[in-house]
Amino acid sequence: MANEQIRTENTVNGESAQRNSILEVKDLKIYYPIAGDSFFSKPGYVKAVDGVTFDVKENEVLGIVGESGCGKSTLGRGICQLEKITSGEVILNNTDISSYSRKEMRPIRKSVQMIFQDPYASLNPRMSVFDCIAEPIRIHQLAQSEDELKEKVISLLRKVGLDDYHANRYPHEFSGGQRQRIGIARALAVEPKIIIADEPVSALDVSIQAQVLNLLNDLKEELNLTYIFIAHDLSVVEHISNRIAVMYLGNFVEVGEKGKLYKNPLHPYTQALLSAVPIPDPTIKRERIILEGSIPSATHPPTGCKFHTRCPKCMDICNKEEPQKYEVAPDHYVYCHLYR
Amino acid sequence: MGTQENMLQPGTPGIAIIQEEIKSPTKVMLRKFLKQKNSVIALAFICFLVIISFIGPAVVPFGVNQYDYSAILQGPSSTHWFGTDEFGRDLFSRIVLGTPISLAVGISAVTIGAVTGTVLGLLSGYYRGWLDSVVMRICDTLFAFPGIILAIAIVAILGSGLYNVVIAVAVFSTPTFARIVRSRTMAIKESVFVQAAINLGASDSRILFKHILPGAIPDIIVQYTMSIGTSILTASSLSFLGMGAQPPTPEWGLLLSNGRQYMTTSAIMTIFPGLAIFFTVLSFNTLGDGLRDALDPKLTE
Amino acid sequence: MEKKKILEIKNLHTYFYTDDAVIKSVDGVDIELEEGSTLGLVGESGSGKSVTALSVMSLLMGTTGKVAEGEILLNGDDILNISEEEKRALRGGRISMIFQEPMTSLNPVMTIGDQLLECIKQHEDISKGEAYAKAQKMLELTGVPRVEKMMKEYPFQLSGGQRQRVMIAMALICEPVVLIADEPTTALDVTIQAQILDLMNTLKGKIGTSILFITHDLGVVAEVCDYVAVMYCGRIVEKGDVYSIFGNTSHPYTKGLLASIPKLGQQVDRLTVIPGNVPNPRYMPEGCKFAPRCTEAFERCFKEEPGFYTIGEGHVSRCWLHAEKAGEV
Repeated sequence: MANEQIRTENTVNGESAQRNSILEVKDLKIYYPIAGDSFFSKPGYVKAVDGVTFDVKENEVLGIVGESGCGKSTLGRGICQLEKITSGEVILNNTDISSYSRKEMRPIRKSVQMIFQDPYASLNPRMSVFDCIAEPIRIHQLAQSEDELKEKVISLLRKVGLDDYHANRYPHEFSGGQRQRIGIARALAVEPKIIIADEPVSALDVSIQAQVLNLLNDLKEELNLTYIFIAHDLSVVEHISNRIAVMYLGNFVEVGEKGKLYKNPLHPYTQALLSAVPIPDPTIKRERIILEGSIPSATHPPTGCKFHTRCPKCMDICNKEEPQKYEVAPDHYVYCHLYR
Repeated sequence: MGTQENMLQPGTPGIAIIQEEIKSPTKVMLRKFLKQKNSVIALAFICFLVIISFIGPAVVPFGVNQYDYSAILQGPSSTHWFGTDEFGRDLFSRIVLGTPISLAVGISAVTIGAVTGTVLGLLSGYYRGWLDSVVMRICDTLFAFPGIILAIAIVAILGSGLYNVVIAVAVFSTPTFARIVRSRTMAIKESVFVQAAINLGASDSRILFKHILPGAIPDIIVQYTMSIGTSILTASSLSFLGMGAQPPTPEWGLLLSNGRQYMTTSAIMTIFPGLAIFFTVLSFNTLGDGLRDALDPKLTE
Repeated sequence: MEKKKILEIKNLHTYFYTDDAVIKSVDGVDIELEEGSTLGLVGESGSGKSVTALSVMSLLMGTTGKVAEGEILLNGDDILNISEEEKRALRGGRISMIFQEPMTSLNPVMTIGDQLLECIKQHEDISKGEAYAKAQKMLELTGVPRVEKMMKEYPFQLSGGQRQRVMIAMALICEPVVLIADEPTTALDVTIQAQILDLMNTLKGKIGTSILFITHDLGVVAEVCDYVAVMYCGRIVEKGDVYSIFGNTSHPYTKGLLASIPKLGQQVDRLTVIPGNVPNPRYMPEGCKFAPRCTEAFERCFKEEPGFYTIGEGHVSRCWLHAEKAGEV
């Protein structure tokens, strides 16, 4: 009951700023070196994440939305150190974990876990469901005996809506939605504080999506979790998140609470994105903002503001200077010269 | 909480809840394997060979070195089913008693090669870097030689005898396994479930032995059975050339070599050992084919 | 005023014959596509919508699938029981298809120009020069920049959106009367999707093609379709014009689908969910296939499969709930 009250208060008043920051990311950069064009040229870089700064508050859902190639998945994986961080800080519990070795990361893995996109690839086809969920418990020695291990696995299975007898089966016997639940159970086994969900429902049928989204929501309330929810589907992100960050070609372009972002999108890209989402109501006809061209290459991104090549409101300064972060309303930031 | 939403309660009218039996990957594979008649027959023949390896000495009508000058170079008869050699020794008994030798040499050589190759493949595929380069260059060098030439060279260096034959064959089998396991390791390492395991905090050894190796096992098994065929052939060839088993060991290659001088008068001295080699190698290869089809991931769900 | 039915699918049954079972992917489907309109065929995986499209195009050869029963008429002509030659002449000519994954549908070793030329050559007997000009014009129509350059490029050099435009160009170059689009925008980013949907609408107007649009995305359906047919387990469960389907949603499955998608601007804590899973095609339930998951099911639903009942003008629903309210269709 108390949880519900707090939740309502925060949603109504938008007081997410009152909560504590559980994770801070400062100017994070993830670059991939690639071979140069010819034998003599210097190697180039794919600037997958090009200087991202944000924080995540306890028990909130931060949605990161963007189209393919924007770097949102890389960002999520970088926080977990599944990608090598080129520069920047990732601060968890007042410690910067960005340059931790594999060994140092081990205890951190208990605090930050991940759910993957592809339910068919994220489970080892040769491991039974039981072993799959038991693995993290075994790795971190969270159970003192075989019996305790069994209890924990069964309780996790139940928590995600599966049955005891599923434990002895193998992944190929389950549907996409069920496999995703197994993946969630596995992530929960270490009792994490933060879960990074990388497109967790994109590969699922619409009716199953709803089941898994509800499950994620319920788990968040019950276990006091914090989510970073990465997806390309705006409607899904808007539904589950408290705050949303819009990403384009390695940078955030706008960050704000979902209600405000939707009603009053500030960045031209956010506006175009929102206008492009098809609404399941034929009586609503909207003026669509059609963007010119396609997403530029991440190896040779445009100068200045990366979006300027497609921006309907491009000004002279946009191809010269990168925009700063402007706080247009409390807790609503935009990176755009229109708002200097 | 989530239970009602997604699990149908048994007893919901109109739906048949089929509790299908647990289909572990091993069971699925076994079922597919048993559907292939050729391979099952091959497997049966191999089991038969293994059995006579053990009971052979008790069952054969004559001894391995039982000279009988009254019955030299005879053709097949009711006493000597496969005839006799130049010393009057019963060919049937000698061939039967040679079975464990061929099998032992073949299996042990390939086992050593498989284990060494697998370890090298796992490590080079997983860690890459200089280790990978060194291992792969060594394998390339070994691959450059035709197997039999390499084996001859090794035996020439180490000296004749069956133990050295085993070593020679093991050496030339290793690169094949290393290559196969390495490519499988590199492929599996990129898969999402390995990333998930890393993210869970798994150590390298856990990933190698619990995630990667089980994925490579099907390839290893197939290659293993195929290699045994080659291994037996190579061992026989070496013995044929006088570099492997020494008389009076009834190794099949040696029997072949023996019979060479008497080809015109007593051809059965070469035919029967040759057939023994032929059927044994054929069985192992057929078994390998059947296993490969059974383990083919495309045929799984 | 009855508009002409350019494509009629009557009582289509497409089955897949495997070792241990017959899988009834499409089990009695009737669809009419009106000339000049777009019909959305909606369903989730396993509903049979893609198989329906493949049946129309006779692209089931090489699989274990076969049309077991039914008629398919293109402008009144039977296109099922004709020779393979005639079928080939139809494909890309009078009836065309675009697929979800443009990368796998385009030949990676042929230039874009060559592939377009090949399309034209199959169906029209014109000189190479004329064909080349036609191909270029078509590409321009799809809004692709630097057409001349693109004609000489290979598929891997193009982005997802560009490839899909090329696919559309290839499909429309011979001015087909019917275009079947199987999830054409599912793999694309939402801004590119908007461009492609716009393009399809424009070209439809220019060329006069009728479109059978297969998708699972109800938002897209609302944007581009005039009529909708909802499929579940190989059957149509609800059919009608787009305003009726969204405004007066009748079948519990359609209702469930609409309720379970998150909508922009809507603030709900929990989404309404359709319980359970799509049944295993090997073990289909008796009676109405949706009954085990239906919150409004009653006894009759589990025993007998319902027929179609009229809800409104051109709007039918396959559900016992509507049997009393209207006469049988």
